[in-house]
Amino acid sequence: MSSTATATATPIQEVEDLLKRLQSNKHVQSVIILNEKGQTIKSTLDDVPTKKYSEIINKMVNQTRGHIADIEEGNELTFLRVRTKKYEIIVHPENGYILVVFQNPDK
Amino acid sequence: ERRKAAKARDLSEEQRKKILASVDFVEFVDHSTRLVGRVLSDDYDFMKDYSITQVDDND
Repeated sequence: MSSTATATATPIQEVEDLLKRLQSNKHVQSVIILNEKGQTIKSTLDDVPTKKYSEIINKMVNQTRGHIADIEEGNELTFLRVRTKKYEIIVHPENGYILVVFQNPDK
Repeated sequence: ERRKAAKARDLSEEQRKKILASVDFVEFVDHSTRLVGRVLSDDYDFMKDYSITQVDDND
């Protein structure tokens, strides 16, 4: 479907390539992709931290969604950035999936 | 029991493979990684204290 992909690239390969490109950014520490239920689809971390972060991030997203809807009915969360002393968490929920990137803020 | 409901079970390997191969998932990854890529490449750090770093540039 992507015009840049080679004729033989499968969707799975395309996803791998896109994630590899994202991870090649020197600030990226780890990447997790969840579905709307908080179930992990893809992760660059080990199973234990993946499960832990997936649950917590999913909770954060759902809570933030609720707060946004409370502020204005019909409005929706589209992007979430959380800066901490150690790293930044970048969350992009869209179409039933959630991309989570942990970024090292040392620039 | 609310806690239980919130905790979804892990995806089976079969379910995971099905999602990974689906067109809407590829589209999501394509779009969201581009978007986040733009966020990452934005080198301006609003939390950084620029008043100190300017001083000892050359030694």
